[in-house]
Amino acid sequence: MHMLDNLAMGFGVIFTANNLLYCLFGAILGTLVGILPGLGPAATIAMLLPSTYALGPQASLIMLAGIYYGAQYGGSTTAILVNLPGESSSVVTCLDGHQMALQGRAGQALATAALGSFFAGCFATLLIAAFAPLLSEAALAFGPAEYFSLILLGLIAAVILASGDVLKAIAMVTLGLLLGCVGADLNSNAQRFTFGLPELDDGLDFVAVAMGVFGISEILVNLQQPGGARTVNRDSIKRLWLSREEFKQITWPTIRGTLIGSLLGILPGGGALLGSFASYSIEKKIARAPSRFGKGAIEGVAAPESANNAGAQTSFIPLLTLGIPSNAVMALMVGALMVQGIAPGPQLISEQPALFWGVIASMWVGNAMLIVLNLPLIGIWIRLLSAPYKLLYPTILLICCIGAYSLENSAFSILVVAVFGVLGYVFYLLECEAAPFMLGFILGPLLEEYLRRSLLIARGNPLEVVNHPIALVFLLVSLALVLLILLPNFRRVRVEAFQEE
Amino acid sequence: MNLASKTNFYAGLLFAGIGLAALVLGRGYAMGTAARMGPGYFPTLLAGLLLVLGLVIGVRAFWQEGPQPRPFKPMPLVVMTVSVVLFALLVDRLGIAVATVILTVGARLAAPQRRWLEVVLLALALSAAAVVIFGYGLGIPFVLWPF
Repeated sequence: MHMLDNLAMGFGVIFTANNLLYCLFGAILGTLVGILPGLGPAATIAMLLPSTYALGPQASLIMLAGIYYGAQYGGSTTAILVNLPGESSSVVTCLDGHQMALQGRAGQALATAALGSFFAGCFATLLIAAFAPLLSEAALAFGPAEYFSLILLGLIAAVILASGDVLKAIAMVTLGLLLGCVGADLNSNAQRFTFGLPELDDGLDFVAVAMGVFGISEILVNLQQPGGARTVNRDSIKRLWLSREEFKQITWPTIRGTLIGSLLGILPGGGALLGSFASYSIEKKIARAPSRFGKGAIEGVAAPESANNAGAQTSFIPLLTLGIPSNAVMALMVGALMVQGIAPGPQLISEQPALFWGVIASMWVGNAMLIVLNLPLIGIWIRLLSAPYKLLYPTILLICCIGAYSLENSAFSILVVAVFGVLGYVFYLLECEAAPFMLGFILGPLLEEYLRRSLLIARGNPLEVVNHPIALVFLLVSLALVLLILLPNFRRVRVEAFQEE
Repeated sequence: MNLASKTNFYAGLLFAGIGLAALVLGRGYAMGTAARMGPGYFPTLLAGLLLVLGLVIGVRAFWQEGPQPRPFKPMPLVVMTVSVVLFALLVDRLGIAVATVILTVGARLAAPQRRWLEVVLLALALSAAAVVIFGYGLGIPFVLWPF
């Protein structure tokens, strides 16, 4: 009953006026970000990071987490009503969700998405509470060799599980690692790639880099696209609830979606996106009449929407137990912890129990808030859907600039934002994914430090790793993954997994 | 040139170029040994890897099919970047109020279809919000006004 005691402590943390308020704020903001196409959780979290300095670790992590899983709720609304993914993880929801709206069943689709997300959120919360402490206990015995190989495994797995060209993704990780070297070397204090600029002594500020790569370049990409008028299908919401028959139809897809999403969320490179794709194609495969999919099958909404919310939450497991972020949003969470002076790692649960259990309890509370925000209050959000982007993006730009300034109270960081905005846009043009880059950038200094320490202990002989069985397993799995991706058969399956229709 | 994927060719060129630049810039950093790595060890390793990856990606683009170039209009990129840089250079001299107006007008210039009255109103509203919320409210030590 240890877990229940801990959860009780967590609920003690979240049920304070301050933390509840930030949880609600995160949920509202997440829904908003989810609903607005062209503004993602990564950009929003990067934008808000400077203002979390003053909040304290609990409130800031509770709020930022709320933005991520809240966006999974909001994303489905846009997918169903406008046939645009409000969030990338809602891409597959467009297929059947929008068809349902065209048939006048938008209310049922919205209810399915919200209820599925809520179920998945509750399940994922319990999963984290049950397994995270076990995992972190195992990780406490890790030395530098284990950590080095774990981070390497994480980076490689992240590349393979991401969509797109693997070789380019590996190059992006490498580029991120390389830029992570900028600044004074920790051991020798030698300046690396600083061009004599004292502002670069401490390295590139990751918040400024993230604002540029996610925030500014997102705006640039959106401005390139023809801004046609969005037609919001408001009249198709007739009944925001399900019949008994429909409840029966979504029960198993929701459970399957939750399980698949939870599992894929834990993996490095996972998170919300992967689970929604996988669960949709599984539902389609096992359906008695697969031809119904794409024509308004309610299962095609229930499964991916449960999966993306489950995945959004379980992707916190590697972060909170091992200190290793599995996707770009989690990489920003590492930054959020570090600005609070908390080193993410296996010691987090024992050293900061109130923070850990508070965040977990906040996920349950946040999900409860979100179901209220996204069902009875849906009308408010629909009105926001027609908010013009031309007013939105100058505001985003200003918040990025001011946020960057406030990092060090200096205008230099704004220049960093500008440079990485251009770079992020170049990445977009060349179809290179920014997420692996960001992971590499965040993990670079850690990877170097662990490599140094483990080779120092091994007196420079990398083959000493045979004395570290756990590290050896991680390295062998990394190698196996690299070999796997070279197989044409696997490559084909992977391409298919990311294609729908 | 007969490229199967222009996009991948340029991506390879970019990676290889950055890798090469990092090798050149980092040539003076002490390498050390594997047991006692100097500051140059890790970055040189990465830069070399990036150079090789870039070359492979670039050469492979000659025959392996890949994405074709996305439509690219340079104006929004240039105008937006210039206005952010202007904001950075001017915020400490002219103050946040004026810099915000410049940033907003610049940002709106980057997009088509603008009505000037709307742009001016938005710029003034954001400028006021920046001064009140971030300057007075959050107490970020900005220069507020040019005087």
